[in-house]
Amino acid sequence: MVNQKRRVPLTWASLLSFTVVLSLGAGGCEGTGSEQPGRIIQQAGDPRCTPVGGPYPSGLDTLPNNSRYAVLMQFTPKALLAFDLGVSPPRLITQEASPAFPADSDGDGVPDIEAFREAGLCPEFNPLCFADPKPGHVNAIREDLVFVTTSDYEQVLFMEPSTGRLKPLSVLNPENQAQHRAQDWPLLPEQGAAVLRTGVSTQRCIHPDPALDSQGEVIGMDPQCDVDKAGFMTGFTAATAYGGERLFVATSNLASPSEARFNPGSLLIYDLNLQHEPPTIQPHVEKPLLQTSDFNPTALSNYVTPLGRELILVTNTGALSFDGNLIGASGVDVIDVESLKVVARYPLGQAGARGPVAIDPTGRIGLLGAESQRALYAIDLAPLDDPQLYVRLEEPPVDLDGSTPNFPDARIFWADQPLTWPGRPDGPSERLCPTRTDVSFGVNREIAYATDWCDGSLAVLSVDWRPPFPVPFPAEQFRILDRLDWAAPKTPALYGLSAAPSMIQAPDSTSEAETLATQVVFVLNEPEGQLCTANLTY
Amino acid sequence: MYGQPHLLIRVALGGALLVATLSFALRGEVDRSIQIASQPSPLKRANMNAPLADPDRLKSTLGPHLEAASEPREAYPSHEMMDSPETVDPKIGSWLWPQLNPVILTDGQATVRLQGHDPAAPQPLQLWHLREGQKAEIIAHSQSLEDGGFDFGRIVVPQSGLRVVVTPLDLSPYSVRSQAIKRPQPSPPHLSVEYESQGLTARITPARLEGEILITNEFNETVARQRVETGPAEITINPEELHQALSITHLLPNGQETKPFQFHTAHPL
Repeated sequence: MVNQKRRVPLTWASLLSFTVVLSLGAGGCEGTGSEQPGRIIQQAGDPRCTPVGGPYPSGLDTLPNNSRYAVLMQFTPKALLAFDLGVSPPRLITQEASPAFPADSDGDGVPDIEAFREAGLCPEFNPLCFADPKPGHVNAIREDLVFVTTSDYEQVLFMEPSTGRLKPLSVLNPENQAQHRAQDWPLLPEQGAAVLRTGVSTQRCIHPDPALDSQGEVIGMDPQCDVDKAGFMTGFTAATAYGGERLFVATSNLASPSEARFNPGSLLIYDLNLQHEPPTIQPHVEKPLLQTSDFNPTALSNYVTPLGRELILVTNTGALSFDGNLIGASGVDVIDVESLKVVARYPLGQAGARGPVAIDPTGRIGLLGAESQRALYAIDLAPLDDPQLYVRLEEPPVDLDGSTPNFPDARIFWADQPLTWPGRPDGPSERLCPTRTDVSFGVNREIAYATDWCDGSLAVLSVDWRPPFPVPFPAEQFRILDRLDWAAPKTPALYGLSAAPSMIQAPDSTSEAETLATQVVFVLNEPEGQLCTANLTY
Repeated sequence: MYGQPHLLIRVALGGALLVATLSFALRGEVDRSIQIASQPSPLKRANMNAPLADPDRLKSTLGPHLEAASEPREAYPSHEMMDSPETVDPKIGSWLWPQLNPVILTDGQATVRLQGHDPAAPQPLQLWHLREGQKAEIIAHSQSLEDGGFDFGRIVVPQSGLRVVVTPLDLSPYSVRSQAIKRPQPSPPHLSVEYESQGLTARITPARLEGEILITNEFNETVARQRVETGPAEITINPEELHQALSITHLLPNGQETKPFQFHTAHPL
């Protein structure tokens, strides 16, 4: 009558950055402290790390202009925690009790669950459905303002890093004009109203073109949207990026997890005025959204080319099944902040690219992690300074895989040519735990670090910068330098040990950062969350 | 004015702690923690001139974590031992030890502030984190003020709880009665629900990777249960079960359980 299943995980969005390992028959390895004769003594905590409450922290970011400090979003209980990375292990600096998320997280005066129901967002057959804001990606915009995405109750929350408290901004739902229709946003204020709120809704109607889902099926009509054309409501708010006084928000639009079916991905665009106090935010009326080239956008990164062009790089992971099988194409969309157009694409094939593009300090190379594989991908960003990209106003985006005439193939590593390294011999088989990687450049462009979820390892990658630098940057100049088996591999015998690293970042190479006791910061996810720092000098 | 009584207090404190430490040492539980806390991180490396590695060189290198797990276990005290009157005699100098104020942790609160009073103030203090059967570690430093107050600021309390103790410098954390900080109730699991033709699929992220997830109906009858071992879980409930209200609870091995949360109202799919 009841099916109980364990499945291998899938990152639909940063929210779902967690792993399920299925059917391992581990025989009961409790998370902390249990001992039986003949079993390995469990060590659930790592003295180099600071424990946080519960597994799978959902987001991590360093503060702008002061990368000694970082904010971490704790998943259970939900709390934004601020840490000093200048000591090891990191030290909590939040000055007030990190309060529980209020029932009314967006500050509209109505508990989220009621607001959701009153807006008619529950399915017809279940009008008393629930919606609970599940925290996801963290983006420190200023030293006093952090954006946190939440899913289920779709929004971007505004939070104060020093206290972990929600922070009100002025949220406006403009009058109907241009491409903006106030009624498309059921959880924004009334049309024309600007009110103080602690979150801005990302739930809106989308009418895609073409109206096909990731399985090629025609998308139907959504009762909450226009009933005369195909549409759906956004879902799985995944990531934010700020550029050109605009906030960009990726929504993955997962239609059915069990069927691994995605609606077209979207990038919502808001005007964000940080000069005003409190800052103001509203949907951009001329172009409220863009449709991504591939399905399942999961991460964003802000990038300014060496010549000063401001861009947003969108990581489209592509459709993948709940057991981690890659189904659809993956790639990186390049959004021009000025024209709000997709100007270029890096098609990566069936790569399952994940995480924001990690860009070297000189802005030449972008690295990406991989979903379901022990691999990294890389793209050459040099072509993004070509002015020809930005004058093709009515033409489709340039594909930087060599297929668009007069533009180069700027891919260094992609699905057909990934950068891989040997798995840990004592690690789990791919069948038991299809791994995932995150990557970040270090404080200089010669070294990058990658986490391996299943092996518990940190891989160290070197880049040889001896010229010349043709496009694409030569793949031979990348080498795996080392592998540090920091945490336990996710094998059944070792469940309960500190495991599953992710979200690695390196503080900026500022004069202050150089004095830090640490050069990388990352998260261990199991059996409880831990924030770790390490001084890795290569 | 202040010097002589303070000196007396410090002498008395030193004597009391010496007795307690010796008592501990005689049981073979000598103060290793301070030595260990000062060891350099095994991950601090300086191989700037190292040649590029051959991928074949990437043999298995057990991390410090697993080395610790695989080695013969050192006899660090258990929590039971720390609480045992035989291990620490609360009468010995207890009135001179830094005392943490009682900690009150409410549901959903992530952090607590550790403050207290130090009879031998002012002096430098350190906050230790004691782990079951593992090395104690210093997690914060502070200084007691002349009025005796001290403040370590806030710390995060993980789901598994924390055991902490405050000592003056260079003294064994096992000499002083520790304080356990626990969550009043385990945090509830996160839940995503998807309705589809074959039923309801609940994707569950528990706050602790242990115990059991229980799905019950309005009569508290169990509709589904699943062990939590390795990560988030997924339970599918067939359409014929959906005529009843469904709630989720996470049961922990220590008997604690989360508040039942109703996620489905009674209706057929």
